[in-house]
Amino acid sequence: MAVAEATRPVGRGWLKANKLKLLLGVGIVVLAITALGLNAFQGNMMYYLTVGELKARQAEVVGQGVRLAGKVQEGSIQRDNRIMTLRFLAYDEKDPTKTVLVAYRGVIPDTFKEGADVVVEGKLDANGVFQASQLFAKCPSKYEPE
Amino acid sequence: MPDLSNAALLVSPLVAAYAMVAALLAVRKGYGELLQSSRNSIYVVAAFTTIASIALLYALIGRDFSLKYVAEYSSRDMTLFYTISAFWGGNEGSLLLWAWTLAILATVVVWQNRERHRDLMPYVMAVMMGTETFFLFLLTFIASPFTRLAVTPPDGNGLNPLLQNPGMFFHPTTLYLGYVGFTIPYAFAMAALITGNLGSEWLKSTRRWTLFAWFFLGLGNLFGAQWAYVELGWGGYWGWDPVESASFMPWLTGTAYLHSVMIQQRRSALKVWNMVLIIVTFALSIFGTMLTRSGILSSVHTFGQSNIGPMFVGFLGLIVIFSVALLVERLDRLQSENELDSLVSRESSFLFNNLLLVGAAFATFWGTVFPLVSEAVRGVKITVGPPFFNQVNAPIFLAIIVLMGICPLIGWRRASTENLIRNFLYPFIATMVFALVLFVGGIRESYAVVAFSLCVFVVATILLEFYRGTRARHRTLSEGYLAAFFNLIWQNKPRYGGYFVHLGIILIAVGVAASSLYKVENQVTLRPGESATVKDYNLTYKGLNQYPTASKQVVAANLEVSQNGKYLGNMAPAKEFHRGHEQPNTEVDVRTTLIEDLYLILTGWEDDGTANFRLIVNPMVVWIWIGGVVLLFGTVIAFLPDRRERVGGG
Repeated sequence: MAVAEATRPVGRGWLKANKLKLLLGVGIVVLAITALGLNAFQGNMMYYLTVGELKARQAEVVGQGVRLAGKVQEGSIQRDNRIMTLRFLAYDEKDPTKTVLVAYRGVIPDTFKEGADVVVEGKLDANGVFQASQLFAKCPSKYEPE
Repeated sequence: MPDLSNAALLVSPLVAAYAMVAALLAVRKGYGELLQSSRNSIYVVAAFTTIASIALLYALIGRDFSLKYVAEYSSRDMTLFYTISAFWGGNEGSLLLWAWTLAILATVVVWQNRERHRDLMPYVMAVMMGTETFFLFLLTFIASPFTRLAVTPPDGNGLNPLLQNPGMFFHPTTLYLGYVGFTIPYAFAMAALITGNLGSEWLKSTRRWTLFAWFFLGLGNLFGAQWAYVELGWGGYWGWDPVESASFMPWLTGTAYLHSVMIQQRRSALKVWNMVLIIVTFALSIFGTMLTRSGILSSVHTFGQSNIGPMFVGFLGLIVIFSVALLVERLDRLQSENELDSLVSRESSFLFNNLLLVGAAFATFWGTVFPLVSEAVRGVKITVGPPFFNQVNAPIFLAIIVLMGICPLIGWRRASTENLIRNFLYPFIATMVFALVLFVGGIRESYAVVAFSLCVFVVATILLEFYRGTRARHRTLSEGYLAAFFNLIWQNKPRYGGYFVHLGIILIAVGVAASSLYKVENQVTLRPGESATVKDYNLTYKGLNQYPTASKQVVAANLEVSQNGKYLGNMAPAKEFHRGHEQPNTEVDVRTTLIEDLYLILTGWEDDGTANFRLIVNPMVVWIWIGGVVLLFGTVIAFLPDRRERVGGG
């Protein structure tokens, strides 16, 4: 394929003006994506803490969005299927003495049970109860999809 | 048999490494025999990995539970279909699937190019075999599927019930074909950099491979979404789980690459950019495999922590350093012969499409790896949920859709005002009329009006293209309209295949937009005989049925469904208790129509028969899968041999 450029219609100055416009366009798009990303990021970021870390930072994170990882304490599950509420103690895998009471309303996944790894999203309220709006659980037994 | 194949697997990394070194030595020293020897070694690697794969299948089907892998991922009660799927049910088998696929693709590449690209091929072979060596090394020394147990158990653990879905068969295999497939354009790109033959030759011969990899990666994502939708029972198909993001990112950059190579072929520009894109796409493919297999980022996919993570990080680092160093070394030779110099031209619309795709990939990457970054930098993990990904990506995708409408119609070089009016007047009018119809029809949400109207814009531009092409043939060649239409497509398959692909993407976009914006949901607790409504559906709960099947105990709710007073049938969302698995498995029941899906989940029950349900109406989800079929159709057309390739030129 012939790649030699046809004679350029006008002088260099004209070309430069067009090139500048193109660069300006690229700059605007890049800036817009960056701004979009930063904005969405600030609105949605949350701490990702273990129960132990939550306890250590309690004062700092009250009322803030937190994704919390822990394990479900044996014998602590209170659930009422009729109103779909659930309360349980989550403990830290590394330091089982650290626990937090979690309250959740919504669909409880099949994998949720005593001793399961659990990840909840929500906020720690002023009474020290973790009010969860999302709950994910994974079975401690082997599970390797894909 | 397993022992023999284990031996084959044990020597295969050596053979692959030899193939790499021999290819490099052959070209340095000019030994033709050595190159032939390297070629033969690649065939040997393919043979050995095939033997190992067949042996693993044989062990699975033969229920040889003395193998740890077979005992962990299969059991006697599994059907043949899922027994075969257990091949890639765990780490070791998945890695074997990767290595096997690459070996087969490498063989095809070597065979295809036995007479062509004599300058590039040694390096192409070396790069492919370098990658193969890494995977075979992992398989041999770290994650062998042929490890034996001290005591043979009478039965295996079986595959997790969640994995017992047709998706388990198609999702991993197609995804891996995509991941592995990108090795080939990457290998050619590296060969072009090393040899300095940086013209469009290597692009031409990898066009099909890129399309192949891109298509299977997209298909893999769709299969994954479909699987999640019917099996995971949370009412959605995409959750921005790290593993989903990981397979989506290379698809985005791969899409950018597919488009920007057209600019290089046509105008000899964007050469550096193309190199960057293929390097990034390949690196993201390896990164995706790593995320899935190493458990570095915890996700709902939940993998056993494994020690292959550091190996992958090392390999990935090696790829990036090697590629970037090579690219920098050749920077002076990658000067574009033409510059892009106009804001309003097809070239620049491709450029912006690229920026947006890469921007979406980068934002997704940032959100996915940020927990790791913040932990390393600030000592505290900070994460973002799905809302972040949706908020960033939705506007970007809308902008991409706009460009999808503009790109095919705008002139090359520098579009004139007449060109713009001639091409965009009718689509623009169609879009405005449609937006008005939506508004009058009661769809007022700005996101919905914009999204659907833009989709109409793209469809209108594509139809206009088909119409004009057909009419031109009808007039100049006096073909009948139907013949003209088919000949139009047949005479330029890459172009019109591409339009069909665009149509498929638009259908997917419509499905995604409708189902995310207009999902209706109701959570209810019902006693037998009670009714509940969701949208215009009325559901009457008749009671629970419990019954055993060969491998599980089923608890199914019986619901009578009617819409606007018209009886539609009974539905039975259920929970299944698989033998040998403590946790139950939710089986949703979905009633699909072209307009919407009624999606029922049984979430729990009491001894007195009271049951909890989640009732969801998901609009237009089926269009996502239909879009996938159109995508397949378009890709096949673009893939077929085209006369232009033989003639040469664009």
